[in-house]
Amino acid sequence: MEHPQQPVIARNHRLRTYWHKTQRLVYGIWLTTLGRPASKVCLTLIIVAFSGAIGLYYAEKNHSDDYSTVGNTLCSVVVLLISGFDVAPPSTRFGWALAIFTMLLGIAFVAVVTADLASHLVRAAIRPWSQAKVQANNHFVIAGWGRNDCEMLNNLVSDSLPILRHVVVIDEKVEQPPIRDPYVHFIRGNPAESTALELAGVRKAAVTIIPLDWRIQSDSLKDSVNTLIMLAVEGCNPATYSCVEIVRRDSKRHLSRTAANEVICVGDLSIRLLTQAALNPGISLFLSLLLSPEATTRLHKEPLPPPLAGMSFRQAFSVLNTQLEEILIAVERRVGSGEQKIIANPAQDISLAAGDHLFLLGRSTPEDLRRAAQTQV
Amino acid sequence: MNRPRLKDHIVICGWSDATRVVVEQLHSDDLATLQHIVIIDDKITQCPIDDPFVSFIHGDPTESETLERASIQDARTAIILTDWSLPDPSLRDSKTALITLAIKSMNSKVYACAELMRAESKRHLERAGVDEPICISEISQRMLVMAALNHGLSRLFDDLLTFNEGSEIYCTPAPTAFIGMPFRKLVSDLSLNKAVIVMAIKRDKRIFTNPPGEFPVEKGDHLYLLAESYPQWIKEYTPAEERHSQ
Repeated sequence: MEHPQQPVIARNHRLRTYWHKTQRLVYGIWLTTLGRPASKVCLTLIIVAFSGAIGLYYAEKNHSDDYSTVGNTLCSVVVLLISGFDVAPPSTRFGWALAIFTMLLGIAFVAVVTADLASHLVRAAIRPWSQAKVQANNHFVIAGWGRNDCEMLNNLVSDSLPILRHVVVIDEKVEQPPIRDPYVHFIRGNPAESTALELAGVRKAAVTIIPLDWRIQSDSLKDSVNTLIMLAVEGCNPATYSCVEIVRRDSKRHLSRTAANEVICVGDLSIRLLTQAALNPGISLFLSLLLSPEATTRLHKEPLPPPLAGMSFRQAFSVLNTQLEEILIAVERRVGSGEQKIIANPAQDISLAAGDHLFLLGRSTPEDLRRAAQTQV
Repeated sequence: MNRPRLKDHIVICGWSDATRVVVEQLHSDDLATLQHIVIIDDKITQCPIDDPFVSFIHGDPTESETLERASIQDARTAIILTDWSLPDPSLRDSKTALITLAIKSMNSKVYACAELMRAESKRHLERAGVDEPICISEISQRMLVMAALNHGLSRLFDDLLTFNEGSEIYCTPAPTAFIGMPFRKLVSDLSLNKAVIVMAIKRDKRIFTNPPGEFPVEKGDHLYLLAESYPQWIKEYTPAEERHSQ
């Protein structure tokens, strides 16, 4: 039987996707239009035109036909802003003061728009891509871009993710951002240099990803480059969560001496996958699905909802399966030395404790989990 | 030297340190059967692994004579490893494609799993007859993204993909006793009674990961299970004659 919370979860998922699409659209419009200095001046000007029109209407309505109604006054103010006194001059002192102020603003408006346009053209000519510091918090930094496809970026800014975050790509060989998206920023520079990392806002970044540079031929050189970038990132912000991709298994132990949080060794990974594929045909497709953030049913990690603390793994499994159709795969627990231990499908039933994190296969959000756990209590 | 004729064995093309790991994993105690493995390589002359279930053939895996000596006609699976000694990734993929073509021309039914470097080579390898191309750059890239979104995920996958350590993923035909049973009930029953987690159903070529609502198991489905070792008990739920045909 379908649990009553299921349609709610599906609806929430749809709403979240729509919300992210709207957020992306609005932010895109803001960046390209309203975020520019000329647009800000235009907005100010509209506000001034309206308030100036109201002021002139009250000061001049009994003296001149040009200011007899609010509509006429607004037309006159627009003329004042653009071309000066092509309308009847005001008769009162207050009207004069307002008209001169409006005219001066009009001159300033032309100056700012011209300057903005000129600066845009000059920037485009001498500095192809922005080297301005990215103003973002809790964002992703991708240090190095040595691949042809954009799947990684598309997945990181996917609408189906619970939170939409900014992504900053740093590379010195690429000339333009790998994809056009308001949430994707690009810094042209060497990711092993602190200047580029600072511009990418690595100090405030939640996660730094260091992917392999497939343009480099030698495998050991690929790993050396990534180790150097990791050390540079560590120097800038040791607290950022770092995920490093390497080729050789030998490099793994060198990386373990840095602050890298997750080291993904492609050599290791492919060997394990090949073995699994030889024994369980089709498993690579299944794993690809599990590793796709775009999939409706996704593998996700959530903190243990407090009401589930003290329950056994199997009890929690049963609650999550029946109420939310979530499959509990594993528990992550902090052990003595601060190290994280992952226990997948424990044979001996273990008790869940506060501070544990759950790896789940399903569609729910942390709120859904919290609600389901509360209901259980 | 006359060696016994092998059947339903695994052929591994290419030797590197990684091959040792593959052999260790294929001979894990968690697995139901111990399978014979034949390693082919032209750079080394002696078998680097001392194991009666591992044979070694010195020769070029693109030559039919070498493949014949490895009894490729009767092999069940072929694993083609990337030749990391080649400098260029596209050269590595070219060699993999050539080995696949040589193998498939001698035994089109062998299940070929190949490691490839470039995502662009995937469709060429599929055309060459690879049944399961493992594109390392693609998978590791996805792993990077998922690890950035869900911290610790790469360690979970390390655990799931390694035999002898914790639980692993197994794919098994759905036993007759489970046919018609809703997925949700199956997940609940097997977790409580067998400490096994059902994660997905494979139907024809489609995979339904944790399907929502009432999703009944059908005849011919395969189950993806998470278990400490190969679930031998699953045979008890399948009649003997059906087991034989599977």
